[in-house]
Amino acid sequence: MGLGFVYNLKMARAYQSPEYFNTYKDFIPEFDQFLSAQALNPPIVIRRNTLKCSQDVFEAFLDRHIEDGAFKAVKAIEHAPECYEISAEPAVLGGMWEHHVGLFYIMGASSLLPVLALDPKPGESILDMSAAPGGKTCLIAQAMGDSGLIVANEPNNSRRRILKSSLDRMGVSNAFITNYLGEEFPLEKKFDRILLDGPCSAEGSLRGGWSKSFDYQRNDEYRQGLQRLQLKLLKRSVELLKDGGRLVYSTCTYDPLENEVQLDALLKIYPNLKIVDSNTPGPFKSGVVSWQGKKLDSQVLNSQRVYPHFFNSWGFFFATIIK
Amino acid sequence: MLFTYMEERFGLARSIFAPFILERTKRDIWLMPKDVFDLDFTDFEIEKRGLRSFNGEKHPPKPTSTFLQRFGHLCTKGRVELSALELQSFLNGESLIGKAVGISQGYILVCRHSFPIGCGFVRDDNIETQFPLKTGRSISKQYL
Repeated sequence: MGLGFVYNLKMARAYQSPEYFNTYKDFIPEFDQFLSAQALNPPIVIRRNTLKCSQDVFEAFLDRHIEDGAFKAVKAIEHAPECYEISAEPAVLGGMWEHHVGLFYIMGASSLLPVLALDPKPGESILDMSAAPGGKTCLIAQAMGDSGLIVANEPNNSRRRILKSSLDRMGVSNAFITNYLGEEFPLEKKFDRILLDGPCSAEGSLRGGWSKSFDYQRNDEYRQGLQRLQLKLLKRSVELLKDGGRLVYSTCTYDPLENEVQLDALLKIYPNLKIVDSNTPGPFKSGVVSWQGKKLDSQVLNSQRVYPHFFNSWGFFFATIIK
Repeated sequence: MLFTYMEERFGLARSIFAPFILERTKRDIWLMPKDVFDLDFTDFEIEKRGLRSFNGEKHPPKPTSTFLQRFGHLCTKGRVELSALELQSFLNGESLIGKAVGISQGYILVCRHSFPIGCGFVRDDNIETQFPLKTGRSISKQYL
């Protein structure tokens, strides 16, 4: 056990940043600006809950809290509809009654992008494979407007409790919550669309500082385990998708091994899949087409990378796949 | 019958619920779109389905605060607006004395800045809170 601990510490040291991100220097444009942005906390962003709150009511809410001093400034975010950057203490926003009754959801603006790429429609069947904490599920529900079905799956008990609470608070009526391991999700039904916002090493959400737990958890063994799980989840998602259906794969990490390399592996297993343009305009970058000396399928160019120095939010990756 | 009650008490038109179906479990009544059943998911182990809308153990069934927060903006009656101080008391689980003069006994929608907050119960001109106390206590009283 002692030796294992020492081993893990040694593995962890490699990920202590900023040196760690140097691995990505060759493909992240304007790398110095990236490091500077990565070292800053991302802005606090809220999104109007369109199921409960009209634009007028929401604007009155923003005005009221500018007036009473709770918000120092409010700014609409380009490329992220209904999202507003709020200058306020995070605890202030989280404690507001408007938050507790589901008038808005606190989120990273980049979290909206995979849902825009998924493009859910009323009346469809949609699987949210790793649904907790529920922000993206709520966004899908808003796009569907009380029609059709979202199966919000989350195998982790404590995270599923948060998911339930989020769906209640946001007033979602068309979601069924399940607790299957994603890679073992029953194959009886096929879905029109699937969102796989997979478990990942979460480098993109690591803005503003470093913690020992981050360094410890992101050792090689852990990451290889994640990569194996990601591919299993991707394969299951393809099996669960109707022919012609749309699968969006997203992570909040920069590591190509968890992103483009996974898509490349998936295309080798299912050569008929197509990675298509996500139709999400914004200052996003195309996926990398080679990694560690290996050339990847050119379709990964259609995937999208979100960097904090171009879009001030969590780092993100997403791709739209058609079966 | 439930929708008739909601129409009579809160002025919620029945047509609002035309796209929905109610499903009763042991304790609660859940609301979901009718078309979820077109997508037959009966073989699945489902832990929670739809929006918990009524506590079915009460007579008449009590609308949940989550239901009222969702559909309360469509209520044309049975609603009362609270001041900041009144909301603070309501969230703390206290009764609002003399706040419901002339309103018949029964459930009522409580609002702040016209936005639905949750459910109260009118008894003898007073409003008793039906809002989940745990949630009420976690709400900051700074910007009501």
